[in-house]
Amino acid sequence: MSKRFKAGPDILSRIHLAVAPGELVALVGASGCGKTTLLRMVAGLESTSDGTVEVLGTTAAKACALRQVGVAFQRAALVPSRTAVENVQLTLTITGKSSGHDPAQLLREFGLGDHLNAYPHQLSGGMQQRVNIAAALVHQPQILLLDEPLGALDEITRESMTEWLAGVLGRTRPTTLLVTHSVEEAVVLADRVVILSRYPGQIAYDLSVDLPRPRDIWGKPSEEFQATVRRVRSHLHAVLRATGL
Amino acid sequence: MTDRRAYLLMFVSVAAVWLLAVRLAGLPPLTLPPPSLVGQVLWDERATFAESALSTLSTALMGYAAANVIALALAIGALYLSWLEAFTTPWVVVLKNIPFVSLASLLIITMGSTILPRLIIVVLVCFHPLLANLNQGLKSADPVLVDRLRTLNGSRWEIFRHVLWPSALPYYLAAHEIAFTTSIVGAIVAEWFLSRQGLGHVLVKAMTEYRGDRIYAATLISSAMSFAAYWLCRWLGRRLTRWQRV
Repeated sequence: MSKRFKAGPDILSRIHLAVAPGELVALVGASGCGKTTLLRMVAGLESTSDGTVEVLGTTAAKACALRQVGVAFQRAALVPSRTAVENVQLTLTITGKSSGHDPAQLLREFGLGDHLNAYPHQLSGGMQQRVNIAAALVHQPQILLLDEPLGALDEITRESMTEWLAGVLGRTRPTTLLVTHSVEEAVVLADRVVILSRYPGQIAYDLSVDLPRPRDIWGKPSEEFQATVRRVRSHLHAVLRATGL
Repeated sequence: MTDRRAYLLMFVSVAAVWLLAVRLAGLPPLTLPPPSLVGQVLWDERATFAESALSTLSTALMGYAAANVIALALAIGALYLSWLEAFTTPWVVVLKNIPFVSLASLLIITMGSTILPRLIIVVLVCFHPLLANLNQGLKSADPVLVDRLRTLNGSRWEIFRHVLWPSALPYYLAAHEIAFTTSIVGAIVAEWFLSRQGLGHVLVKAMTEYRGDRIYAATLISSAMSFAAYWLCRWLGRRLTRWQRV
């Protein structure tokens, strides 16, 4: 499929991407290459200009109607007047699902047991993002879309959150599309790393990450892990050079 | 300084300046009456003042309620009908900028001394801050939060109830602090022009009779009513947005 806004040039062009059930695909690329636009189309928030986006065997909009999609954006989407647990509960209220996780229990599992009744402004950026991801996962969606969920965090928090997120996704195993700027984050979390070029955004490389889990990068990263990071980074740099960056 | 102390200081200062002015100005008591004379007239004519205050309050409340209904309808309607805001904005701007004293005169000529022109005046003076703040509050809703609910297949009503309205509420409550007190001022002005009852009428009558004590008494009552309205809105607003101060 392709995407253009109004009569402008293609933002995304001839994208052919299939994600298998339970697979985690990371999208990386320079700013403006259309990563977020692609994710928003899968979420049913943007339409395609040509072609189709198929989610769970139907259109993206219909997949949302099935309430099988969870999305966490870069900025935590929390209602300021609701507590952490109420924000997570909101997902169940909207989806009408009673079979999901217990919001309080999920937040406890996410290390927020002492902050269930805290309002978003009382939580740190990392804690807000945990609530945000809990709200995206509480209804046990088959599809999880993560748009730079750790992008707004500082380096230290980001490192610990990446490890935490790897654990959460390892346990829940939804089919996941992750947009990120961080090669390390992509290699730690993903089964495949897709590198997008830009002007227009196209799939330049689709690299599989065949590393055993859990993937420890902050303690003592394995030689294989470092080699994979180098491989992804060299492909990314090649794409950036080709687009004049 | 706490709110309470600041207000206490203000009331004490006003009383002190009043007493000082009475002593230094040397004006006759009916032009600049001492507080004791105003207190006396308030007590002696308490039935008239109570009836007038009630009449003013009922006009203000009816106009204020109508202004709320109109402002809510226009602000919420504009969320879903893109042409509505473009269509109503020129009307709102023009009505806001016509001196409402001129409008009051026009309304007397066309409608006579009935309740309707008084209500129209109250609506016109207190409607604008309600509409402006509601529009601002509804537009301040977090678009990321709206997207989150859209991906969950949230309906328009659910998005309004869980995202748009909570965003607008602090703005709407802030507007009440202005609009409710303004509705009382509007009701008094409307009565001044158009009525044979209410505090506005008491003021006109007192002026023609050179009764400074009654003017001061009516002013004190109307100020107390506005002040009570302000505090009621403020108290309610703080209760409804308690989460902001946790």
